[in-house]
Amino acid sequence: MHIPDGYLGPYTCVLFYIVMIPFWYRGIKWLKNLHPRQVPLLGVLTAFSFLVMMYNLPVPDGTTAHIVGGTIIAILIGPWAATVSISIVLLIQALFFGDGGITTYAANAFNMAVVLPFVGYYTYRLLRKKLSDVAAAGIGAYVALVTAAIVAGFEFGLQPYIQPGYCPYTFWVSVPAMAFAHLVTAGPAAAVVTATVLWYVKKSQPELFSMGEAEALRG
Amino acid sequence: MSKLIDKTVEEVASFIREAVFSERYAGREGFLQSVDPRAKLIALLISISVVVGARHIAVILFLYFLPLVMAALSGIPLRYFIKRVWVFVPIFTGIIALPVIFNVITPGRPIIVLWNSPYIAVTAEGLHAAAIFTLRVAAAVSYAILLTITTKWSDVMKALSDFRVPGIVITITTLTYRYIFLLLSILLDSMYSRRSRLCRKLGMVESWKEAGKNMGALFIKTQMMGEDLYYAMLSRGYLHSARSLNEFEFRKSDALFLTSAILLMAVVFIGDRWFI
Repeated sequence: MHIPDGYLGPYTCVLFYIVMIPFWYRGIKWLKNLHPRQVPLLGVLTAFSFLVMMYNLPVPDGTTAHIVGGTIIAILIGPWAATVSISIVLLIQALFFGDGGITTYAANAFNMAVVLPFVGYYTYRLLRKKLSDVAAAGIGAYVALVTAAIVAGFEFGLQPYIQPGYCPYTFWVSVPAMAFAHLVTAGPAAAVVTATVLWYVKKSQPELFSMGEAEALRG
Repeated sequence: MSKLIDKTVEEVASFIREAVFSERYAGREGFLQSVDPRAKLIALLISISVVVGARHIAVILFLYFLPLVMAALSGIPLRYFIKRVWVFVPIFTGIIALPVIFNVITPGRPIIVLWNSPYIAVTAEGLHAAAIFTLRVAAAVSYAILLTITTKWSDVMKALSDFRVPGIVITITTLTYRYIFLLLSILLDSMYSRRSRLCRKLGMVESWKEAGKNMGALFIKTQMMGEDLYYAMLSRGYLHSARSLNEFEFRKSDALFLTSAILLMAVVFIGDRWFI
């Protein structure tokens, strides 16, 4: 889902940098309120979210897919932690590994560090009243990944209407293509993996599981 | 053997290789290595913006060749540089751009007619659109890779903090980068130990669950490490902010580099918009 440089035109890139300002501002404010003890913890957890993207999951079409891990971090620590962590991961990937782009950095951050964790987190909170924690987390991860993919599809699909020379396909091609791929391949993988992670953490270290709850109470 | 384990190990190994290679060239003597990282960062942002905004294929082609010259001047083997740029993203981009060359997506003057009924042909307009798209991505990726290949990680971080990126973000990013390597070795160990206990192939859903358990275990380890790390930092005099030991010196040559980069990009941008 990482959009490379050159896929989105200049207007879209600038627009997303403007859109991301309040989110990053809020994220940094959240960071400044952290207890100093939690700062190194967030550093290693950000490394963790970087690594989560390195697991190659086999999917039905014969290739492999990655998950973003935004929902896992949002549930275990809090959605703002996910916004900060994934923004940092995307920065490292864009600057050092040519994964994602520099002009498209804000758009990528919007999809994966804002849409994904928040949709995942609130879907989880909503479903938890009716389902078990583990099932709610799995469905949350699924809905989050598919939503983020559709949002990315919209960003691609906008390009031909603004100016030619960027992503060449309109909504009618890009949104179904992105949605379908994530609905049937990466989505189910993300759901099973996220649910298993939560199940495992809850089973072996239940006190870690309640961290996200405390975070939600503090607001 | 299980795809999950093999592919993940492969990915981790290639990641480490790239990281090690990048640092190797950053430590060499060369043109870009000697430029102040702040000047390089500004030049990079301007250049990539011009690449993304450029409209003509000749201009984009010129912008693509510029980083090749810079790479050569900086002692980076061109084969390695080109491979790194094209392997990463643009091959994938090329596949995406492929359908655009046909009349179905881009109607226009046919160059090669493939079928008569239904009528499918490669059009001149389509080829042009696909070439612009692919080349632009390749050029943008070239600039980004050029910066990281010629600059040490710590210097990029220092440059970012000089540009007023909040200290806490820099601290977390630096910790993240360091811990990626440590966690990678833990990840590799757990993958190998799991593999050595496997006596059959894992099914697809089975391997997703396996990945989930592995990530869960990694999360718990990470959590413990975070706490230990705090005490380790505290015992070494951590005062809630990290400082860089080396200060950059902005020399005349850096000013010259930055001015020429800005001027060149301004000329290219104006030429692309109004004169071609």
